Amino acid sequence: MKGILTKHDFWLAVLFIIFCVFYFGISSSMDEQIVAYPKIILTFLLLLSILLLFRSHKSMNNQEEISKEKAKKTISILLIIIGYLFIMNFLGFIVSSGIFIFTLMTFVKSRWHWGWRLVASFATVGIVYLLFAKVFYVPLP
Amino acid sequence: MELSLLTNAVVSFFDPQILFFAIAGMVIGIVIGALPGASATMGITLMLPISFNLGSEAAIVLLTAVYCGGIFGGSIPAILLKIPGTPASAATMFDGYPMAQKGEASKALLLTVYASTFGGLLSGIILMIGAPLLAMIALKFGPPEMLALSLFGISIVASLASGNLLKGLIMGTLGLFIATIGADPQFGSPRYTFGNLNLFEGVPLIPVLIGVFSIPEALTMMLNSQEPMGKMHKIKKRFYLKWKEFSSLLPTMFRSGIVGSILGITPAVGPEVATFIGYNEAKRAAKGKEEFGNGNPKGVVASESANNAVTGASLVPTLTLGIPGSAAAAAVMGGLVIQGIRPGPALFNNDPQFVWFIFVSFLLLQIVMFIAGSLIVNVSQYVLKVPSFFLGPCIIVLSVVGAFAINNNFFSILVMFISGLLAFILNRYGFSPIPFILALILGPQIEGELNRTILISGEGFMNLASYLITRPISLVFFALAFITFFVPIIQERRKTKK
Repeated sequence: MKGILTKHDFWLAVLFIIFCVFYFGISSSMDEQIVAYPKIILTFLLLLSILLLFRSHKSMNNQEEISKEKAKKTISILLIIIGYLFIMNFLGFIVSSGIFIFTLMTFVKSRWHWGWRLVASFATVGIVYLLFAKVFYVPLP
Repeated sequence: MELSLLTNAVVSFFDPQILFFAIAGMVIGIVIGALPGASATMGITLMLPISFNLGSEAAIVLLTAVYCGGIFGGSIPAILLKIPGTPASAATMFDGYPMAQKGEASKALLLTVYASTFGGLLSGIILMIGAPLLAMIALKFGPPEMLALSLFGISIVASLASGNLLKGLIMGTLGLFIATIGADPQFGSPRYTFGNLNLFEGVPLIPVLIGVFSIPEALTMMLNSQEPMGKMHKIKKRFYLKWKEFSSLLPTMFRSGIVGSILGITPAVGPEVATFIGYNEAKRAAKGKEEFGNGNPKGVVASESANNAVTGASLVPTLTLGIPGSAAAAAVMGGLVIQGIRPGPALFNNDPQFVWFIFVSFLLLQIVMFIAGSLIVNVSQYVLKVPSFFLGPCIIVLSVVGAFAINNNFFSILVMFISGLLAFILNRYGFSPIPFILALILGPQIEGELNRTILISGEGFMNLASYLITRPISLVFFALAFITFFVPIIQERRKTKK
């Protein structure tokens, strides 16, 4: 829906304005010399956000339809990613990445058999480990 | 030009290590480009951790090979599945898919190899001629000219990169602000770091690049993984075309290649724009216009020559002015920055050997693309069978590796995910991440040049204004930036009123 302002643009404009006000607040407690340039940029951002707010307010009825199912799926994928980052600290890169690929494939209803999914997940991580850590000496998490 | 620079560059390219990365990068680029949903820019960002540990010559060869291969590879699913692998191949689909329906899939694929190589060679020559000339002019620029030029670059990107000018400007301005996070360049005092030492040197660029260009693509792949794939057309094994099959198409390749090169030099006008303009230009010039869209080989070569001509040309402003010519060129520039190489006019004086290596290697990479492309198109149906439910998670794991490798800390992984998630959400509502990335790259340069200009002119707006009047070139760029910034806003406003 590029090029068409919607209700979501109104709320995004509000978020941008809050962002600018927040950083203006922080800037006020800092040395004027070091925040002079960022404040000019913030002023521009604030003006543009206000412009977006006014324009999108006029088209509040233009509402994009977002499938609830897709929204749920997106949030679930993000939760799996957060879980991946969390367990990486305990299980290390190889095990956590293998579990992550397997879990995500299972979640998005991969048509592969679970055994094949498991093999593909850990084989991929194994290849990444060999290629990056052993061949190109890239440090892994 | 010294002949020794040219010969040294050729010799360096045939060093076994560099040749290996040229071939490997090209194959990886073609495969990534061929996977629907994965872009050339994403391919480059995923290669950044590997390039980080290589010498500067091997690194630039790897990144530019992925760039060229990625743009070419996008044409394969456009022809076989009617799904462009990258937005740059959208116009290839118009005539490529009907050719495949007529049983000419192999010919269409080989035509894309020939046209891509032709466009790439043309843009390589333009890079070789145009970049030193532009650098020679840019070397005479002082801080006010560089400041004005950078502002002009951002304003043009904001107005072109997105369908909505206002949203593009917001993203550009946001990028400029995020670039101010970290130590102040004049006094070294921390700004907006909240006591986090990881932010002292600023928001890390490479994790942001990886996040913005990889995470949204991986998420989209997983969200759409249940959608059925179209019927794939079979390929007869063929490795070359006869002269009579493509000789009549050479003028079309040339015309679209020139169009693509001109568009490539313009900041942020990427191959996705060039492919349509190149195609339309060929259609406009052709006699049998009604044949376009029904499997006309001219349509295939026009779009492919145009999009590949962007690759080399987009490196002209990237190398000479430090202003990326496309999103992928911004990623290549990121790769140069982590090598400690700052693109700009001074690079041509300080390291001419490296600059000439880039020119020569770019031209030789087109030959690598021709050979690799002619072979890979024959097995491309296997590449297209890789399912997106498997690719998505793999891209995320590779992004984690890439983000961590640059600074060896977990903070970079968080930056990568947060920027990727924000890019995914904002892009969903028409806020293109390209102006944001460009502003993030150019931000420190703009602030530095502004500080230097004020230092010369003296503080105060009047002093600055009276100094700028004495610098006509900067005035021209300021005026252009002003026009690019405000005129479309006024035009849009008038349209809305009507």
